Amino acid sequence: MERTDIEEMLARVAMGDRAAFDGLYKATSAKLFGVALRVLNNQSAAEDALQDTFIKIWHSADRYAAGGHSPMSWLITIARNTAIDRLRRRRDTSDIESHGETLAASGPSPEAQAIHASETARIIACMDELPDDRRDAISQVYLRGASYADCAQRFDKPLNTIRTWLRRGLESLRECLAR
Amino acid sequence: MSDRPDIPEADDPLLAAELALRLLEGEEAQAAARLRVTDAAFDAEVSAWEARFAELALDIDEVMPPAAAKAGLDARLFGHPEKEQSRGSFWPGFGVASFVSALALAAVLVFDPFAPPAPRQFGPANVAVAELVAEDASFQLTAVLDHDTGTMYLTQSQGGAAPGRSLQMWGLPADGDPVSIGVLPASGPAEFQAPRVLVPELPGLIVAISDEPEGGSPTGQPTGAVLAVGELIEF
Repeated sequence: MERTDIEEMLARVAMGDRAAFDGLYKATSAKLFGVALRVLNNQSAAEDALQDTFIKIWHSADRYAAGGHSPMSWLITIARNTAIDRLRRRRDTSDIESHGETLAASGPSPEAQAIHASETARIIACMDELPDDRRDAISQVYLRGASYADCAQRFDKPLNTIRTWLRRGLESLRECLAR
Repeated sequence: MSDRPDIPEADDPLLAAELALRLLEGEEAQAAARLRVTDAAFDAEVSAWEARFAELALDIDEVMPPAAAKAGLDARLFGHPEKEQSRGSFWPGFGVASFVSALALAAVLVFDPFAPPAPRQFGPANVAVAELVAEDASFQLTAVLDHDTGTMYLTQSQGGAAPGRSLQMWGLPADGDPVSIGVLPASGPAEFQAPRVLVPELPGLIVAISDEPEGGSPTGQPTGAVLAVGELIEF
């Protein structure tokens, strides 16, 4: 699946093409479900988040600007933010569901790995320049959807301390990306 | 965040990264979301960070979702009544009962803020409510969304547009530019149909009111000051 294939499917989805929507789902749902599972760590919540994600994609495919960011980044951002919304809603309502069983993983597809390999290399390289603890914290924030408040609770540190500490990591990342 | 008194500023070069990571919550998150509406450069910076961080997710293993997830998705989007009936249609037809209940709730909210919670016979979570209040309380508006019909009922209880200006309501999707919901009449209540692209964001959608030239923004994006921001919360 090339970048342009996904862009073309998105363009057709934007015009209400259901066959293209099915094709897009087939091509990207496993990746986006993996993202939702990583954030939510719960099978049924991740399924709901996946549905929410594709409902957003169906309704807002016309907002994807072709030629800008990679379509996969755009889709992943929607999937991650949708999962985080669900995570925080669930947390706020203390509606803790039992954790579903972990599914067998099929690994990232060659297509996904090939997409924008250079960009990946850049942010990964910059992440690697960070001290281990900060790099881990930032990737946990991204992949698990922790907020400053969550981090403060997890590390049992004042929120401002955590914030200052994480911001130092973001500043290094910013400087590295700007090089 | 009560133990951090300072409100984020557009010139804070890390704010965009913090917003992209969703590190902020509550008022700070709303203030940052507001900046995204009013500051195109900031908006672009957030998008850039989102795209960069998305690369971190490329390592995440693909997991095939169960077939039922797609069936449920189709049912929610396109309404196949034979499947996933228990879930309910995502966007059913016009419901008179919820129309009435939305109006009743709007009345309760606007005219008697100390009234007891609305009786439950209206059905659970059929409406979402956003309170939009300016920081200096000079402007106040209540928006009630009827889930069943996608209709938004607006009541201005304080303030309004300056002479020769209009107020416009926007929805701020989690990903992407603000979407116009409608231009408010000079006075009195208003009623808008939530734009199709915003439907999947409801509830939980951040909505904002901006000051615009008479008749609404000429560009399709907010051009003036943002008076108030609120979140549609399930009632």
